[in-house]
Amino acid sequence: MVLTTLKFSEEELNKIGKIARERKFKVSDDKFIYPEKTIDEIKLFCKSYRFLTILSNSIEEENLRNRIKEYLAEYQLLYKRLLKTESKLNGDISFGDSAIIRRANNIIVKNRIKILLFFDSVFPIGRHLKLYNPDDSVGVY
Amino acid sequence: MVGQLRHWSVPYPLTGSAYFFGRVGSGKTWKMMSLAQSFYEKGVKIIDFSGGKREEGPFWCFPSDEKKMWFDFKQDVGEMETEGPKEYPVRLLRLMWTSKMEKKVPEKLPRISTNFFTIYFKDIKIEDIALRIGAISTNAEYLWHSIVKNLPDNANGADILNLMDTKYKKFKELSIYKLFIKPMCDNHALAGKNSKFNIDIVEEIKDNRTISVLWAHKIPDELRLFFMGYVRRKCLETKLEDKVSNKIQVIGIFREVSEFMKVQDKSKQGEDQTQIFRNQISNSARYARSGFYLFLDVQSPAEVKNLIEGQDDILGINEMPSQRDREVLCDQLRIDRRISQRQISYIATMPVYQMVIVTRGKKAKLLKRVQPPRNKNWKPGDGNFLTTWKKVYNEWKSTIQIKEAIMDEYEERFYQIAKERQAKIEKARQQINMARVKKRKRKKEEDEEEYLDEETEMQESKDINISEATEDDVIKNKIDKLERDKEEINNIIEEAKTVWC
Repeated sequence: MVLTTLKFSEEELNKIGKIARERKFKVSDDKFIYPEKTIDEIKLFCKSYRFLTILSNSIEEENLRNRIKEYLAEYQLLYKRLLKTESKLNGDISFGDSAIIRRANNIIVKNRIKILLFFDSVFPIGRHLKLYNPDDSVGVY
Repeated sequence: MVGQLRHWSVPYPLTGSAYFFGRVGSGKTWKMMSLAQSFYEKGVKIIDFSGGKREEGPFWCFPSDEKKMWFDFKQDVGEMETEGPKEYPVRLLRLMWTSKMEKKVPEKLPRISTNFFTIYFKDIKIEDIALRIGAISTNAEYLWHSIVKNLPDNANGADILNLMDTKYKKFKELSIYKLFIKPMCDNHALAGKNSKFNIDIVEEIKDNRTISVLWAHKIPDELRLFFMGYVRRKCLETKLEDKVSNKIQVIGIFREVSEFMKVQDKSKQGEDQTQIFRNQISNSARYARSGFYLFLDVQSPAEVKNLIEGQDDILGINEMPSQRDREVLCDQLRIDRRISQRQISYIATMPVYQMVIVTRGKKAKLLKRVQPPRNKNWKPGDGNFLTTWKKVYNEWKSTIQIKEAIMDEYEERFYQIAKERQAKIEKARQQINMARVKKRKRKKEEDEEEYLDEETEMQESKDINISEATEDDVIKNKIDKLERDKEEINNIIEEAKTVWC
């Protein structure tokens, strides 16, 4: 399996991150700090992909826009496969859940490194980490 | 990488009370405090009713100094938005008890203040007094109602004592007088309506950014239930009567509630009083939707069985090695499938920083790391509150002025009473004098009338003497009259004889 080597440079990350903050685009999830469950991972991946798509459409600088689109093209196939699973998981289907998750899990295991690389690229741009606030919470579970 | 830990927040708004169970040293009190503090951040008013026998309530004044505990906590939750330890604004409420009042009390303005308060005597109901003397006799009930009815609003303990010395002297042997009225009045704890020391629960609740701590320091142990019961009743009434905004919820914290809630191993000493208080507490729990909620911690659920079952909004289960206790607490939850068998088994050996929490309508959840309380909590080796205060802040306020002010209030009333009594005596004296004068006048008038009659008679006789008759004629006339009378009598006797014959 050929690993993707396409990564954003530091300068590009700063630029994209700045635009994301200006436009208030976020990849945030209050419920977890880092995804470990398959379902959470799929959801975050799809969310991050959509976030980058929206961001690329709203960037005026052509070079940067093309760069993001080029980057997204590498993950397009994976996104399409995982999107099916995500839409099924979002629906109110209880029968056959385990089969769907097993299938999704297989996809994720096969593409583990690719997904982690993708997260590493997206997190510095749009991830909003929710810090623990003692005024609001009483503990963790 | 931080593990997959999710932040847990308290369910707000509250709809019921919260109960915390666990063995000694399982951290039930500090977990209860953590939850209460989280509610405080959401705008809930906190009233700390009972600090247990160690008087832990005033420890709200100090920020937490548990560095290791916070460090361990940070390892689990990562970076925090704000600092953990916090300095809360605290008002320490103490009942006026002049005989044992110290010369100085802790105060660190503007954050911490100590307030001595009196109670408006007409606000005290017979059910409050029952918390001191147990079952109330009809005589005692009559006496208290009469005192409340007879005295004006501005009266205070001085008036009550005066009334007991005069009008209700015969009731002085009753326990209500010996155990309640006398000590309360002697220590200036009862006041009139306008006294500046009176506790105003409505204002206390409105100030929801300050934590009110009832500090039963130097108060006789027997009066503690009355002290707590009175404030509890007023809080509940305030909420029931909608005297404060519905948005302000009130939490009443009671530590070591088994002291007065337990149904097992009860002592005969003060049994009536604890029974009454228990009933009042369970009533509060039942009326929880009015906005006054109880936070209770207790060692064994068997001690309070059937009292609070099914009325809880939050149930905190801490380490509980006893099989029986676990059964009592978890059986119903297990039947309802709200707690799993594995969780029940885990409770037996749970670490001190963890807690199984069951919120209303939800399944039991294991909190893997409960946030330590943000204020200081008592731990072995700390000593009592005053010694800790001396070490940490050592700022004090003199109580001489307070003592003098309340004593002046009483003296003023004594002076008023004496003045009123003097005025009454004066009035009575005047009335007696008036009556005497009237009597004398009437007698004089009567005497004068008699004198005048005699005089006229004399005048008439004189006139006769002067005009016609001589002395001999008068005597002659009298003799004639007497003879005529004699004849008449003889006639009557003769007639009577004839009749009898």
